[in-house]
Amino acid sequence: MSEPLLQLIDLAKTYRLASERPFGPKKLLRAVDGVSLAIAAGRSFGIVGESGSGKSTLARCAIALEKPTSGEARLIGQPLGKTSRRELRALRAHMQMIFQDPYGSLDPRQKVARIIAEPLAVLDGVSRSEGAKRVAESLEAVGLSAADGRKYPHEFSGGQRQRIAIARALITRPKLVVADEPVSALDVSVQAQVLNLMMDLQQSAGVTYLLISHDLAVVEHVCEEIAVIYRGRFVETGPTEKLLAAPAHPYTRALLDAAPKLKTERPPAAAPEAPSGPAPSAGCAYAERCLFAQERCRAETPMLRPLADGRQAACHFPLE
Amino acid sequence: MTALLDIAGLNIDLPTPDGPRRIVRDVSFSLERGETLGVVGESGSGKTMTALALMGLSPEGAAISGMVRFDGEDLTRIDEAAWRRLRGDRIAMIFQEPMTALNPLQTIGRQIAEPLVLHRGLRRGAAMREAAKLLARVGLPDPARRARAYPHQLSGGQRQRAMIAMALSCGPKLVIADEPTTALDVTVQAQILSLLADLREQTDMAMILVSHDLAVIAQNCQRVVVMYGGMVMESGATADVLERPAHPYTRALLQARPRLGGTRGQRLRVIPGSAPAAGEMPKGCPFAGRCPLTIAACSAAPPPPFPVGSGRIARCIRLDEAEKVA
Repeated sequence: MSEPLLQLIDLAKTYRLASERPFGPKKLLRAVDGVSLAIAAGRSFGIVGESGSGKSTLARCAIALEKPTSGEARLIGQPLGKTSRRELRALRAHMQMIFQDPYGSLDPRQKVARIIAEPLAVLDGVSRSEGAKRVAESLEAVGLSAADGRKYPHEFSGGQRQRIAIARALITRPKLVVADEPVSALDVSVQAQVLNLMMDLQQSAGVTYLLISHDLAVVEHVCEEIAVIYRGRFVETGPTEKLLAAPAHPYTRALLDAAPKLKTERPPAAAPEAPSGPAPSAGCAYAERCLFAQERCRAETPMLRPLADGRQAACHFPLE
Repeated sequence: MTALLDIAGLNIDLPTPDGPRRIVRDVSFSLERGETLGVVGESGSGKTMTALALMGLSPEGAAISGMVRFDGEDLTRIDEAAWRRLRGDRIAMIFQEPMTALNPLQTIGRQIAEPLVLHRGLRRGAAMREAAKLLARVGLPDPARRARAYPHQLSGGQRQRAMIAMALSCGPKLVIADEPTTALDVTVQAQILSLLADLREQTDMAMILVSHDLAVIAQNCQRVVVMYGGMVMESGATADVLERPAHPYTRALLQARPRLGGTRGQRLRVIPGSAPAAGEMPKGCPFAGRCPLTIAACSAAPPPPFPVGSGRIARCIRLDEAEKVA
């Protein structure tokens, strides 16, 4: 197998929380707690999780916007944590990010052409005329016209703004695009446009996606492989179809059951609510919500173990 | 028996520097006692403006015409004092973001007790005891202690439960829930929706559930109103509308959605273009141009409602063609 484009090796990110009382001990929050993954070039990997699961922290570590506490991220074999600033700058051209909110992520006081050209600053020696050419290309690639570059973000609709954000991400011709909830702020009719566009660009430019979403249907639609993250750890990973057809982890099952469906009958009873506060130090983090939890689940932390057909699940009693 | 709520020909105009702009056009629907109605639409469809008008919370300067008859009273004709007596008593609202809808400086219990003091004349102490009972009813563990908590001390799902307790406090006849689960995680969303379903079964309150998500409405509402561009495009029994959408917009909306169990990488059916911005409503059908069946007549005048089956309408002059395409 050729070298993966993006590799995360036992990546962890811990934040210090403010202490509850003055001079009190500071609590540690393990936002990401030992995550490994590898994505081959031109493929799409999806990460599904709820708020607070660590999925966005993971995304930010993957493109060196955050420094992991331990473990490492490698892009094309190069460890991002060990590179010099200059090397990292050069690597940045290969990795770009699309954010959730197309309103907050575009500077309202700059014209679209300038916004899109911004990532070019990390590339040495892109001339003005070359830059202008690339802006026009980028705009056309996302279905806007070169003339749109002379407008301001407020002149565009939400879907068009997300296209502008994608055009900005593409201008350095990146190999990896990390998309953090790219369509969740968009209306349903516009979501489809953006998802189709992302898939077209994968076909034409060979982009690799790390797609972060809370929406199983969106991830299923785009990604060959997915990982379900709960409290900073992958609880299940594997090929999308197989994983969603028959989830092995009770949490994946609960997510699937909770997703609203276009059926008129009343859904099955909802799983209990996520507890707040730090995860228990021993045992499975999901045990307190799990309908199948047993004694062992509270005592012993389950590790990701391979199951049949290329899947892995961190559960002592995987579902059949 | 007459309907609890009957809206007919509701128009809402908002003032802008360029003169008034119509953002809700000729909206009509009705709601029986104890019934749940879904209002689905994308941003700018007028669904929230319609909901706010039912609470007397329209933006400053909004001109409202048409008829909104609730419990025997025409709400377009009542003054602010009458609204204050009505709001939180017979009509209550659940908002999307409980963190911004709740007062961060008051305890949950006090906020739930407030409508009881205001509308029912309860004393503070009695109202606080009632608030704790309400919190227990919406499934908050340890309600007496939770009643003394401030909003920031609760999780998102707990805050939404507290909001629901507040809305229920006076036993309203109608609850309007505007995207009550949009800010929540899917597992929490499922819990809140199942709580709302339980509460509806226990009481005879009617509910209007406003959402952008057809699936949220599918599982929770007997009837649905599909709004687009300030107009009701289609309305009818939820099962009928979802299984056999009559209006090209409803159909497009159903097809544009990636669905679980679908084929990966398959191109989604796109609705070309974007929705008209609120206040930039075209003269004719707001979906004209984006609709594959558009003809010149579509843009000439707003489409009238055509009956399609019992208790069901669609506003489209191309319904015959739409049926052929399906």
